[in-house]
Amino acid sequence: MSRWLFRKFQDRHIFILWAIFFLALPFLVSNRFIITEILAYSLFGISFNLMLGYVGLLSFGHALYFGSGAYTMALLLIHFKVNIFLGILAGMGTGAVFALVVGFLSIRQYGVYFSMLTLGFAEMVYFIALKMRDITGGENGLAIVRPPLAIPGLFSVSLESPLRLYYFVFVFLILSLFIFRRLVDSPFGKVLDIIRENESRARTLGYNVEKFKLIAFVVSGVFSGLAGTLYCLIIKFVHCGDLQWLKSGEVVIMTLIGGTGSLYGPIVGAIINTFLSDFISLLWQRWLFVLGTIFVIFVLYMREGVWGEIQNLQKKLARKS
Amino acid sequence: MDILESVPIFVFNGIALGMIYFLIAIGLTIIFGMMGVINFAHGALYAIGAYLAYTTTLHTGNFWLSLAVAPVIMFGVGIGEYFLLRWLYGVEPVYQLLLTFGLALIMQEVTIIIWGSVGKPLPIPAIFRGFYDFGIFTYPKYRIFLIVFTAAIAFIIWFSIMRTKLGAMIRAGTEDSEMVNSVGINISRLFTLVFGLGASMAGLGGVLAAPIVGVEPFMGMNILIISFVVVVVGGLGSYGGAVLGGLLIGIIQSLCILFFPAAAAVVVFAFMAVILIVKPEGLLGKVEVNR
Amino acid sequence: MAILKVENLTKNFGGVCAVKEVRLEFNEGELCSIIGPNGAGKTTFFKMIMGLLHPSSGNIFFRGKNITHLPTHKIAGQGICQTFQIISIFPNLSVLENIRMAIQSRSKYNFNFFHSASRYLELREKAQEIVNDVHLAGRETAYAKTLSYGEKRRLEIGITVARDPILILLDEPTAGMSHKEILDTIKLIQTISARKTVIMVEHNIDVVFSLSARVVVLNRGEVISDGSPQQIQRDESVKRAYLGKQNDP
Repeated sequence: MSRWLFRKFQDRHIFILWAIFFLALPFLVSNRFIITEILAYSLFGISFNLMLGYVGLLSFGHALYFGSGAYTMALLLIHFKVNIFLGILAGMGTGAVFALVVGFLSIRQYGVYFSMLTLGFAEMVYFIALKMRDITGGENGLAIVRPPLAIPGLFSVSLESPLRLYYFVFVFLILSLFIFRRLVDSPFGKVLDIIRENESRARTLGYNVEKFKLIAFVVSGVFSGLAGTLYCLIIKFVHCGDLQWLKSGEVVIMTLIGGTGSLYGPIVGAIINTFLSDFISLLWQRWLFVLGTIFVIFVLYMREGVWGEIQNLQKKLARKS
Repeated sequence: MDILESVPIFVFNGIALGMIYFLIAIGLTIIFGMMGVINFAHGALYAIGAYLAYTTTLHTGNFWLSLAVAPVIMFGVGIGEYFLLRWLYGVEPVYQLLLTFGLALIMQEVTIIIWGSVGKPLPIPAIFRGFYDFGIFTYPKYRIFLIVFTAAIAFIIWFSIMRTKLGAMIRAGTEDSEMVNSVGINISRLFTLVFGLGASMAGLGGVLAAPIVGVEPFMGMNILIISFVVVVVGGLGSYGGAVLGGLLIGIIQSLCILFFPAAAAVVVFAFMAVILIVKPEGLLGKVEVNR
Repeated sequence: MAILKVENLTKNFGGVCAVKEVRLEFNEGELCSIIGPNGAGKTTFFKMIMGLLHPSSGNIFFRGKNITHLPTHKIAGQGICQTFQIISIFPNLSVLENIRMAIQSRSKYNFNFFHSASRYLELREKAQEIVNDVHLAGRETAYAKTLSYGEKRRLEIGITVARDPILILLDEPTAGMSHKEILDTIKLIQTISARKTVIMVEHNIDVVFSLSARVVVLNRGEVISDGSPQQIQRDESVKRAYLGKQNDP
């Protein structure tokens, strides 16, 4: 067993391990609802982290893309009984559009301004959504009926079974993770790395830094929208809180605690966050206090996050052998 | 009363609102100008000030006591926050922002733990209950007091920054903190002082606002977001920007509530977006030299 | 043929005039040094060429094209590249990666999202050539931040050369170096400037004299002398500029 600890793990192996972990999870944990939530939040965190961990920009309004994806799915389901795949596509499109607009206005700003702006725009949409109570249901939100997994004319399978729903979401997470892995390793991804490392040097090498940041931001928006869409399907509910600063803050906290240095950190963060919010909240309503305190401790002492520390430890062990 | 007659009232409402924004923005903008930190906890400092006003008034029946108590306590809280931030000296600035956000969340939860999650009303102090008759319109006495009092504070702050030695150090620190350090001024003590003062201003804002807006757990974050708009519009690091931005946003918001109540929230952010496109450094901000 | 033409270039910072109505022309293939006392405006001058600072007034023409208000990345795209006084590289990337990214910038692969970057062998091969050219062979996989100061400088020159620029700006390339390192750097600069135009800001007079055919002297933002190293040596105003600083109260 110890031989496994000392190996130099390649990213490919880690990806496979996580895939196996999630494949097996429904048989290790009885609460299928929570683990499906974890899948959606993991995706949200991974897309958010493209900006924070890879480009180096802290977006404080990412709930906008998540929530708008969720609302797109919900509204299309309620008003048009849309096919599930179309709904998902539409949710991703909404995320893309919002990210394009906000990104275009915010990306050329100096780091801190960027964070404030992304928060500002998200709050603006939140307040608008709150006002449009007739459409969005305001704080009370909208409930949906989960559509079947269907291609008209070919097949239709109900997703009411928790196990089936879990694997449905799982497929999207794994596909997205696969896409992100390729993206991060691609020439485009390498440019994001150097932008994070030394932006001005990237500029003097001829890279149009703003363009790259904007593209990354839109990609992040698309997959955050996807996460929101899936989340709406899971909990069968969407409300304005999904657009609010608290949700944006949650993904920031979750990603930092999990680890911003890799694609997998946010998954750990999602697990921890969901555990806290769903279990601690049963014991004490003020679970946010616990989350906040843990977060502050991590910012002060463990900035690489849980996964980052695990990776460091594993590298140390691998070197010793 | 037709809508146009209400305009002066709403303009004054906007000024009152703007003065509160100023109190929060001034701390936020000077802290950023000097230390490069955007204090996400600034709204929470305002909220705790308001809660302190509530508790003080509840137990002593004297609202005026809280005008003295809250800023002092918030000064201490501000210094505490600064010392935590010091821990992150030398680390990338994004972590300082994250730390202040985490603290904001903790502070918000602490207020709920201590005072509960339901909002609490705070009655307007007896002396200023009622309206003052200006002839053409009547206006709540308390708001007049608020405007006058905050204007006086704004003047004291302006005077201190422009005419005192401490103020000169603060101005220098906003321009170039390394330089200030190398001429022998203890920059760390200066930062501590500025942070503490910024926090007490925010706390003062909370005390003054409490009788008008009440006291509730999310008031901190709500005002923080608008304060960001204020400092971005006015220009980060600029005293004048805090005044101008505060008044501008306050009046715009207020008039919008009068004329387009549905669009009130949007207008403020839309205004910010316009300023950012036209003059990204803010109305009175210094131009960013590096691209 | 003037490859870089600077017309009445001025930069004011509040009350201070850092660069005052500078008029200069540089010819293709030249190796020119810019010298001057501290605060003469040399680095400010470079920053304006590279687009890192907006001039207050004046124009900059590169190969006939007005580049004065272009963004930095477009100026780089025109064929200008710079090394900086404070070394600017990618610390957490390997030596090879640093240079590979400079080469990738000129390739058509930048918006490729799906294939592994290591797939593009020609980028790697070119990068390896440059690693060898700047005498960093053997250090390819080392993280840039672990390099010695001299090695980092060589890496930065390597990154610049990898862009295959037409005009190279070197801002104090030998600052902080030992005597031996300076000699090596002089040789390196001679090699890289073979078919390129090089403008160099330098304080080390030996370096200036061994490399440059032409020297421009700046003082307080103005050009006070412009000629061969020998001419500059004999120029009274240059002596006064340097010595004058010592006699200021």
